[in-house]
Parts: sequence; C-alpha cells; structure tokens
Amino acid sequence: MAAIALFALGFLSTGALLPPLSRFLRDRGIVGEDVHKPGRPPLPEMCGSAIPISIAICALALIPFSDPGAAAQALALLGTALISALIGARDDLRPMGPRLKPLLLALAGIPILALRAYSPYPSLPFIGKTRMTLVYPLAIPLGISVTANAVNMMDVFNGSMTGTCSIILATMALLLSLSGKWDSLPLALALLGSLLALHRFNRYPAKVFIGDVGDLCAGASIGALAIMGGIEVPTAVAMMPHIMNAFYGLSSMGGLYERRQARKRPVRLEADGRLAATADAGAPITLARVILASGPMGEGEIVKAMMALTAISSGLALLTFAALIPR
Amino acid sequence: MRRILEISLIMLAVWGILMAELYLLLLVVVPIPNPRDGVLWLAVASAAKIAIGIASILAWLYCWKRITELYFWRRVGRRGSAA
Repeated sequence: MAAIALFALGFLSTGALLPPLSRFLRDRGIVGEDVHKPGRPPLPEMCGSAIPISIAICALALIPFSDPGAAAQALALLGTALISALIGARDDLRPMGPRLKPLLLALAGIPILALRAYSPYPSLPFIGKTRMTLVYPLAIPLGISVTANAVNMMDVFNGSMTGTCSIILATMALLLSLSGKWDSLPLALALLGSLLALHRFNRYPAKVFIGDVGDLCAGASIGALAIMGGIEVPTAVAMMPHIMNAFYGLSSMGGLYERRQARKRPVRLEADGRLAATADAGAPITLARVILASGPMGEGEIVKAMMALTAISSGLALLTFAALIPR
Repeated sequence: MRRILEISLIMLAVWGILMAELYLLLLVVVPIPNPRDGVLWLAVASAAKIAIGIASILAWLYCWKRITELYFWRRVGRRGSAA
C-alpha cells in the first residue's frame, strides 16, 4: 500500500512541479539548444531539479510510518539524491572537468555508509551470498559514481534518460518484490513515478531538458537503491545499455571525457531532420552511433531503440537474478 | 528492428561471456585448494587467483570492445560502399 502511495506521490509531485519550474528557469534564461532539431529551439534546462525535490517529499512522507531500518534507507536515499543533485547543478551552471565530477560523485555514497543502509553480504551468481565486510563499503562510493555518470552519459536525446531509467526502475521494483526487500520497494517506486512524470515532458519532441542535476541524481539514486536492496548484480545487467554507452565512449576516447570536449561529433543532423553516424575514426563510439551504423534514423526512433535494448537487458537481469539463488 | 536484434545479440554475447567467466571464477578457480600448508603458499595461491580474476575481466572488456568495433566499422563501411 505504501509502495503504491509513494509511486503516486512521486508522479504527482514531479508533474505538479514541472510547469512552474520550467517557466521559472526559462524566465531566468537557463535554457539550452535542442541541437538535434532543425533551427535548434531553446528549451528550459535543469528541469530535472524536480527529481531531488520529489525524492525529498516522498522520503519525508515515508519516514513517520517506517521502522528504523526503512527510515535509514529513506534518509540515505535522500542524502545521496541531494548531494548528487548539488554536484549536477554546479556542473550545469559552471561545467566541471571530466575527472573532478566522478570524484565528487563518490561523496554521494557517504549517506549510505554513515547510516549503514547496506548489507556487506552481496549475492553473486551461482554461489549466492558472499561475505565482503572490508571491500564492500569501499566499493559503495565507486558504485554510486559509476551509475550516476553512466546515466548522465545516456541523456543525449529527448527522453533517452527518462525512458531507459524508467524501465530499469520497473525491473528493480520487480526484483525487490521477488526478493522481499519491502523497505527499498516504496523508494524505487517513488523514483519511478517521478521519472515517468518527467518523461511526459522530456520525451520526443521535448518541452524541457533534465540537465546534469536530474541525470546525476537519478543515476546515483538507482545505484543507492541497488545497494540498499541487495540487487547490485542484476541492476548492473539491466544497465548494460548505459554501461555499454559509457564504456564505448571511454574506450574509444582513451579515458574520461566530457561530451563538450569531444571535438569530433559521433552523430550529425541530416538535411531531412534525421540523425546519422559519422564515419570519423576520432569520434567516440557511443551507443547512439552504434545504433545509427546501419543508416540514419529519426531522434524518436533512436530513443525507442535504446528503450527496446534496455527492455532486453532487463530480461537478462531477471535471468541473472535467477542465477543468484544458490543451488 | 534488424539493428536492435543485432545489438541485442552483442549484448547477449557480452552477458553470456560474463556469466561463463563468473561461473569459472566462482565455482572452479576460487575453490582450488592451496598446494601446501603455510602462509607463503596461501599468499601465492590468493595472488594467483586475483591475477586470474583481473585477467579474465580485462579479457572480457577487450572482447566487448572488439565485437562492437568490428560490428560498427563493418556496418559503416557497408553503408559507405553502398552510397
């Protein structure tokens, strides 16, 4: 019941916040160009600020009705979401370097460590629960930084982040239900509700941009939920398109890089409004470029392809979850 | 639709290799007993297992990169020669 109520609260709070927030940001000139459309129309940036606000509303609504363990998880998620959102907002307003941002994002793992909202006995495929009391806490900041950056790198087209992350969160909610992690389930559904509301405004053709504030907050929150719910390995598998996208970029560019630093663009806008992969060997090989390798596509079609790939990786995540159960 | 299927097959191959590696590492390599008693042999055996683990992860990442690059440049090349 709490899970359904929090899903509704996440959806409604984000949906109610977005119209005034987008007007506020547009009036203050916080806009970005939609570079994949002819004429490059300006859209309000940083509308993903609605995500941490919605998480705060949902967490604070849940805590009075929760036992200490569930309250610690809600507070840890709130802390992680707020820290990552602040880093994202700073990056939106004054861009940071490609090395500083992942380092700072590791700080978003501190609330999980401080509130001990994790179990150092993660489940691995084929052998089940393992004891990692020394290594696991050290891996938490790294995990949060990786998920936040991977989600951020996926936000290249209208609705690509919100659409793919909604599928991942729906899968995570199913996995949390199957494993009986009832403390984490309402929080996952609250974030799912928030992302679905945001998707209505960000899907192709977008009316708002999410910005790093929303991308990093959503990615860090997904990482936090995977850790707190003990579904780290299946979540990593569900995020394969995001990891593929980040890994392709990193391996083809030879290290950490910022989109704005890539001199050669991976995709170009054709005269008919469709997008095509560039054949430049120096451009990063991103997931979008791999999808476009067979020929040009419309922006909306690329996002649908990304969502279809995420749905398939989510199916693989369910198979991986089945392998977690020891024989 | 065809391109989604092709990229899904890459994803399936990468996932399959990962699961096979995890199976080998967790059920075959990790349980190998130490050849002899003693702290030195324990350290040597543990270091060898960690080295095998790191090598297999690096091999997995290399496979992933090669499969993707091969697919991408073949597709772009075919499109270029068709145009």
